[in-house]
Amino acid sequence: MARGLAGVHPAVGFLFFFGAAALTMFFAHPAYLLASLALACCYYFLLKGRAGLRFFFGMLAFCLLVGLINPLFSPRGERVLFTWLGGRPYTGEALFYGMTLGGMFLAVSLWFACYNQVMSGDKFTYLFGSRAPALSLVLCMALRLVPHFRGKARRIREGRRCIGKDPAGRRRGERMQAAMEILSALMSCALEDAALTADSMNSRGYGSGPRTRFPRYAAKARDGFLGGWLLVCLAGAAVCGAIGGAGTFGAELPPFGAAAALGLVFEGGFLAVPVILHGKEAWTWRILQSRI
Amino acid sequence: MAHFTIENLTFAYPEAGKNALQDVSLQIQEGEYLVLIGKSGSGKSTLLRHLKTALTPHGVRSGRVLFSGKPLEEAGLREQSAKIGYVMQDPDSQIVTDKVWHELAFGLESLGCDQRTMRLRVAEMASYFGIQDWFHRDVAELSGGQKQLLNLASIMAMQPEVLILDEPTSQLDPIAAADFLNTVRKINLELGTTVILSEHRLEEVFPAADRVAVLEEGRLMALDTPRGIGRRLRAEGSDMVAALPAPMRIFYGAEGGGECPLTVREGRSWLSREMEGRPVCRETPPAPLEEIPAADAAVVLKEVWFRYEKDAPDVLRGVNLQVPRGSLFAVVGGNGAGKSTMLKAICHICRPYRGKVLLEGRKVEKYRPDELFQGMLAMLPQDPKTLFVKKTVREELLEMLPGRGGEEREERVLKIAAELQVADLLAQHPYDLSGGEQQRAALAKVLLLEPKILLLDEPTKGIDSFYKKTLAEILAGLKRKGVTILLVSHDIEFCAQYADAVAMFFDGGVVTANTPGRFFAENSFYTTAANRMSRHLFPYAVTADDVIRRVCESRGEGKERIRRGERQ
Repeated sequence: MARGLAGVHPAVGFLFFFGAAALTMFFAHPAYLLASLALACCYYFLLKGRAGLRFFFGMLAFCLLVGLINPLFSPRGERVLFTWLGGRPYTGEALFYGMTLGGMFLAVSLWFACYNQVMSGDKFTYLFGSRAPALSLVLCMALRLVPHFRGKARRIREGRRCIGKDPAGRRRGERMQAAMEILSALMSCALEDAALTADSMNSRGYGSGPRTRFPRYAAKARDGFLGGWLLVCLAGAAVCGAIGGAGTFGAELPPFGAAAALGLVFEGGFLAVPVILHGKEAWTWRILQSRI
Repeated sequence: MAHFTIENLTFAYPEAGKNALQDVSLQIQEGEYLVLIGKSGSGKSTLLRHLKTALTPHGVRSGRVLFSGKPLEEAGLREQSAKIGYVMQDPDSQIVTDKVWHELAFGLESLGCDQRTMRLRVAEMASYFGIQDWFHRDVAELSGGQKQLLNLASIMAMQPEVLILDEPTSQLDPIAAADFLNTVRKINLELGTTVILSEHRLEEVFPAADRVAVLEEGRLMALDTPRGIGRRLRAEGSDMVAALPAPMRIFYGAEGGGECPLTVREGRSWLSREMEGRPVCRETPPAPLEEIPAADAAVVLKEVWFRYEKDAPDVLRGVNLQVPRGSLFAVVGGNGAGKSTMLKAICHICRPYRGKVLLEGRKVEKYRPDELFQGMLAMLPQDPKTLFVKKTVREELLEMLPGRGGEEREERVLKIAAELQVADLLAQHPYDLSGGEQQRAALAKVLLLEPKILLLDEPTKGIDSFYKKTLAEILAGLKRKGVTILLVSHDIEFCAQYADAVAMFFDGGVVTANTPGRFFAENSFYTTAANRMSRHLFPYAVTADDVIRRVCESRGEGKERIRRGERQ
């Protein structure tokens, strides 16, 4: 069920999210930010559906708050909207600055939320594991240990409760002691398991010579094309945006020239890729179904 | 040609008083299915570990092991890893990585396989073992049976010539275990892989095995075909007879004629021949379970509903149960049916959102926690290891008696240790004990609370048939003292033999409860091997002893003879 960006080679996915975060963070021009925000929202809701509403509104409220609070701390600026606390000015410039900051924060966190949905841990290790095979193995073993130990700790706690050694509702010292006991039991478990896992690794030839890697993802022509398109757009957006002055993070609306407009087109072409991929797949399915 | 040749192997662990292996000589042929049996602690694992250099324990050794005619050490780590596959007991700790696909590929990665071969082999194995549906899953999401199957598959991906399995099913429920052993059989038959397996669940492996080796205190006592082994054990009067499959036990107990049956099917036809021309008395069904007044019930559950999370499905869906005071009450049922959850609800670890749990007529939530667990209720969880938090068994037991005088504590600990036969183990670390010993130590710990109601979750998991007998004696002793015991188990043979009443748990509730005789006679699949084998003649015979008694009675043999048969 790898759909949209989740179905392409992890290198392409990583390039996209890297670019999306970079573009959003470097180009603070409201037009750029709005484009990024709009596409991030689109993609986020395509991925999460209604389940994403809670996170989205939470983040939105937080970012609006950031924007509204900023003028309270920074009194600089000429256009005073009102004064408060005995003459402290609340200025338009500071509000604008705060809103830019909030918008950027919202867009970046949405992109990261999408990243978490699309780029699972094993994709990351796949990408960067070839440089350090031992490290990537350690990483994926560690990923296994977290749920493993959480489960073990839960079972030990339940075991303690079975024999009336439940720390809840006791004095603080006793609770501390109970927690230490569980921790030490968990340590013994961990050592015991580690010895067995080491046996299992040895017995399956670990350390018997150079390792290879299971080719989980194969790069296809489509990935090359997509990667090329992303690179071109990213470069275009970077160059044109920089020339057009979209990178200035200020209290005023920066000028919006031809270069900046062209940069915006490039940025749109870059950030819209996952939404388009999703849309295209949905559309293809529709057509396929209607033919049946 | 011999695949493995073991010549006069003697081995002792460092600082151990006696040899773990004593002069073992054994030849294992190519493509053979060899089963290794013996009590726990008889040296099965030690012997198996000598068949792979990477796993060979440290210690003093003499004799040698040849692999395909050459000393085992001469084969390098890589060659041994590829050719000798080894599956261990614990499904969990053998797994190295976090994803199913990665686990399958792990061995091949270590062997430096090229990518094309790796893809093909992993795809092959996933298809052969039916793993393709969970190929992309996290290993943490799998059940115990699935994990062990994954361990087997990831070994088989390396295409070994020999497959060594060290009690691979001891942590699995019977259905998953049968599934696993069938897969091993299929590998042996279809791929010709040599299989060397140690087991204490003999019902499934005996019919599949070519030869069986019996280890006793590190010595190879016998090596023969399954039937030959049965004959020898019987002739020597060994207590290993109790571990044999039910059809064999009945055959020897009743001193039948003809060839010894190994499977239920063979047992049925043997029994029909044996009983031909003899009168089969019409049996009156045993008494059904009596309805008891609520005042006589130690534990009562009324319409108990429970779920783990708000949006999760219900696990308990209106459980109704009455456990008579002073009885051994068993609840059987499939995996994940909610049996353990029911026990947790009785302990108040899980709080039902509807319904009542009464202990001795009083609601469980009305008890103060210290009141509940001091002299009223105690539970032995499924994994006895989770009860251990100290460095020695003695400390574990002392932990249960806080705030008492030093001498009195010592005395009580020694007393309970003697009762549960763990007195020799008091100085050991709980993790160094074998499965059965851990179970006993944990039970000792639980019994120090002197509960009136004892809850046991799968007490026979991972223990051999000898300790099962000991456990039954311990439970009988507790019952005599008036303790009410409620156990949930997959082990129908154990429940049939020792329980006073058996209930079936299904779909979040207790479907039916009855005496074992009635209960198992009414089931046709979910019943003991002895019952399946003899139900066409003796519908109410549930245990091997029941069948032996009836066969002897039909021959008109006396009480003395019957008792001798039952002792077998």
